[in-house]
Amino acid sequence: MAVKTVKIGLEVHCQLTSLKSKLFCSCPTDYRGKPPNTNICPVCMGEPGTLPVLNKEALRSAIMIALALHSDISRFTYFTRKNYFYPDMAKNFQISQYDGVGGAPLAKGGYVVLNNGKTVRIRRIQLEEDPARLIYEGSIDTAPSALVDYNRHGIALVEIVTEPDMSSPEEARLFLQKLRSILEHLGVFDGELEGAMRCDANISLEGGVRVEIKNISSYKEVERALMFEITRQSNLLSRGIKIARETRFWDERRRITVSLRTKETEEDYRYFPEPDLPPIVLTDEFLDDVKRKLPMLPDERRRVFVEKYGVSEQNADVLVSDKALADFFEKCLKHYDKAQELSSLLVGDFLAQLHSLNMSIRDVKVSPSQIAKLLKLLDDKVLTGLSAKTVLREMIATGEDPESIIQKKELHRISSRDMLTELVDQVFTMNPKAVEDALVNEKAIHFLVGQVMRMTRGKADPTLVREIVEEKLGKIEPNRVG
Amino acid sequence: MPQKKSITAKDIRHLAWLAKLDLSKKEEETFRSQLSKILEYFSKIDEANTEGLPPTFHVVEQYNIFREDEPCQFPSDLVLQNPPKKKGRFIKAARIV
Ligand SMILES: [Zn+2]
Repeated sequence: MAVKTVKIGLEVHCQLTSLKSKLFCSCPTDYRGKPPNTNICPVCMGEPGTLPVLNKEALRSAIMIALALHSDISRFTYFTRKNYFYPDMAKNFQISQYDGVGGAPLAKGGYVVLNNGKTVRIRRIQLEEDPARLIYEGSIDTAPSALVDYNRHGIALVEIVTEPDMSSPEEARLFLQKLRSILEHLGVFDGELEGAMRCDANISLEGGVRVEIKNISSYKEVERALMFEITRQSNLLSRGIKIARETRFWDERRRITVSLRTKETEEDYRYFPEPDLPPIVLTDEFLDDVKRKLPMLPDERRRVFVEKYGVSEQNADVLVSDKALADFFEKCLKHYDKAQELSSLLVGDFLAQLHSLNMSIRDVKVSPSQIAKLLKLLDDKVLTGLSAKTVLREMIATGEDPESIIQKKELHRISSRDMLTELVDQVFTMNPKAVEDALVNEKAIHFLVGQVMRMTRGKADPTLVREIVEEKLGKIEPNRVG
Repeated sequence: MPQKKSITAKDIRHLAWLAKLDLSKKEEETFRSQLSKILEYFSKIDEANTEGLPPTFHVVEQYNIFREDEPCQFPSDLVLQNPPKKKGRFIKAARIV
């Protein structure tokens, strides 16, 4: 199948997770793990006679995001009612903003530069309320009614809409990663929280039409959903079947997209200016104040890592793509000043061990000073690189000191020439065929060295072992030739 | 120029679908003629001369009304007294997909 040009745009919804109260009422935001309908009040439940009032900090956070994404902030902005009948909104409308006639979103334009150098343009940024969570008893197709939990309803959401500038599912993931890192650096967002970032995607293949995919619950799912959609659409196109311009739903469990067959059109939402909330006028003073207080963002931080600390560009990219990792790196740096060696350990073995332990950097028990100790032990040749991996894994999982793990597991590097010579002798006796091969074939030398490493469970000094093996081979050779 | 718009039976059926309402043929006709009359009444507004006037989105001259980000737990059990159908602490709603 020929590879077709793909255009992908994203509509990302991020909760402003650092806020303590909802967007338009004082209900607390700590709904995760709470019993259903605990964080609700007459305002977010849309009871008659109540009035919403905008959370000042939410506006400030949204403006920080707009500034960080180089977006053009409206000096005059207001909220819009989006009307629809669905129980995820207690009021039968969502307080949102609108980019069409009669609307005035918070900000327009802007861009994000991905780690692969690509620029993705932003179309608009706006503030709106999060809908409630619906649960269906049994299957969604057969449940007689929906159970609604309004705890999440009214949490502040920032909607970030991109232009269709991404050309692969991988770029969509890179965009979300970069966006997450920017938002986390701003201190307005914690991507680790379940459901804090969700998105819809639109995708079109060359020769096809635009298809929307709703209900993508995380940055991990976005790549999967888009891959599925590309395969589905290219299969149709290659069989000469026309692709329908439609909205589809990502079914995470079955890992497929399903047609939503919606009959709603844009005008059915009857957008109109929200009469309960007065408009917002943003002054230069206010915007300048927010701008002055913007923290260091990933691109700037990457520059510091490379230019000031001497970290390679590749390592710096990985470090700043996760704020928690970059923070951890800087804390370690206080105890160990070889920045490049430190960064290589973190982006290499450290991340690999985290991954295999299925842990997040936030769960690690190991402290920055312990990481520094491990690197010093490596520098002092107390243990081999191979053993260091074992020690690191244990450190991450338990928070134990590297020295005590080395003691306990007897992982000290073996660099006694006598001891290693004895082991090499044993290996030569046990593998006569390999010894013969090694005389003519470089690769068989690796095998012999490998046997010694295996006998010592990775603790032998590999350079010294190789030296001894080569010496021993050198002594055999004249006999054979002669 | 003000434009006369009359509501068709098709419009009514679409509105009923949006509002998740089941209407009989007789009700469709009732609402069609009632809504047409309401629109007709509002079309008087079109006669006003708005030449050169900036559009108004809000009628009250107020701006920047904010509150501080301070949480306050409302006694949610009071709110839960209002919905007619519940299951445990969940509120039951019609299934709409
Ligand atoms: Zn509330």
